[in-house]
Amino acid sequence: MSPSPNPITQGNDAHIRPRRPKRLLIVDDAALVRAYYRQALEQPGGYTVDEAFNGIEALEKALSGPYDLILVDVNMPKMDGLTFVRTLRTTEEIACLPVMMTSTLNRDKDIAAARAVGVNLYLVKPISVDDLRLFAAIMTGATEP
Amino acid sequence: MPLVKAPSGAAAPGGGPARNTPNRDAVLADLTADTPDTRRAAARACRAFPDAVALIAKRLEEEEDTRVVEALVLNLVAIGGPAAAAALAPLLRSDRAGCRFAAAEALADMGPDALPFFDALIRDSDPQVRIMAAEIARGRVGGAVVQTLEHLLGMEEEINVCCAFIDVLAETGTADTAAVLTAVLDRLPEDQFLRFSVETALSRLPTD
Repeated sequence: MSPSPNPITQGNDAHIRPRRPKRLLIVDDAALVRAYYRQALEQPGGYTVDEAFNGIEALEKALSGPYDLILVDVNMPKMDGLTFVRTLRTTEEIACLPVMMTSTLNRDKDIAAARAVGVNLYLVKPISVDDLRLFAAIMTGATEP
Repeated sequence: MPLVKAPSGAAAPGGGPARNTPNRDAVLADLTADTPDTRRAAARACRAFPDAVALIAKRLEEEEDTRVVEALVLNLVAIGGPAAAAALAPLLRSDRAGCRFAAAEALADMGPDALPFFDALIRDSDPQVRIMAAEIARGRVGGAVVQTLEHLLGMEEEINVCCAFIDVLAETGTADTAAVLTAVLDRLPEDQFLRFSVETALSRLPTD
C-alpha cells in the first residue's frame, strides 16, 4: 500500500511548502550559556540552532547562513561581540541580519555602545527561558514556540 | 643555500650586537601607524624590548584591529614577568571588550606571575572585573586557583558572577567541587540560568 500523498506538497497545492524553521546562531564563549540558550530555543517545532565560540567563527557561519537571528555575547576571545556586529553591518551579504546582544554589562554606556554598532536588541543576563523565547519570537517574526 | 633572516632581537653569532635588532624608536612609533599591517609588524617586533611593557599595554587598550591585539598579547605573554602582568591587570577594567578579554587571556597564559593579580581581581568590588578575572582561571585544573573559585563561589551574591565561576569550574573542578555547586543552588534557588549551570556543571565534573 502506497503512502497517502502529503496534502501540503501534492496536487494543486504543490507550490506550497511548510515554512522552514527559524534558524538562530548563538555566539558565546561560555559553553554553559550556549547550552542554556540551545535548550531554551531548540524545542520540537521551534528553532534550528547553530553555535559559535567567538566573533570570527560567527562571521564565517553567518556568511554560510542563512540565519534569521544572531544572539551574541560581548566579552569573547579573538573577536568580541561589538567588533563582530560592527563587521557584520559592513559585510554586504549579512549586513541586515537581526542581532540580539546578551551580556552581563548593564551600564548605560554599554548599551549605547551596542546600539552604536548596530545591535537591534540588548538584554542583560541572566535571561529567563520565557524572555529568551519571547524576544527570539519577536525578532524573527516567528510564532512564539 | 637560501639566506634565512634571523628572528628580531636575536643575538649575533659571537655575542656581538644583533644585526637584525629592530630600531626601538621606529618600532614603538609604528605601533600607532595608520595601517594595521604595520602596527602588527611593530607589535611582533616589540618582543625585543621588554622594558616597553607599559607602552605595549597602553597600545593594547587603544588598538581595535583583532590581529594587532593578538600580536600585542602574544608578546606580553612572551615577555612575561611581574611587570607584564602588572601592566595587563588594569586592562580588565577597560571600556573596550576586546582589550578586556585579551588581557584576561594573556594573564591566563602567564603562569605564576599572574597569580597575585588573579587573587586581587577575583575579589574586586566590580562584578564585571570578577567575571573577567574568572577567565584567568580557565585551564588551571585543580589546585589553588580552583580552591579560590570554590571558596568565593560560596559567598558570591551576583548571579552572573556565580555563573562565570561555575562555567570555569565545570572545566577545571574536581569531584570535591560538586558539594560547592550544590550549596550555591541551595542558597540561590530561584534563577533558571544558575540552576541550569549548576546541573550541567555537575554532570561534567569528574566523579572520583
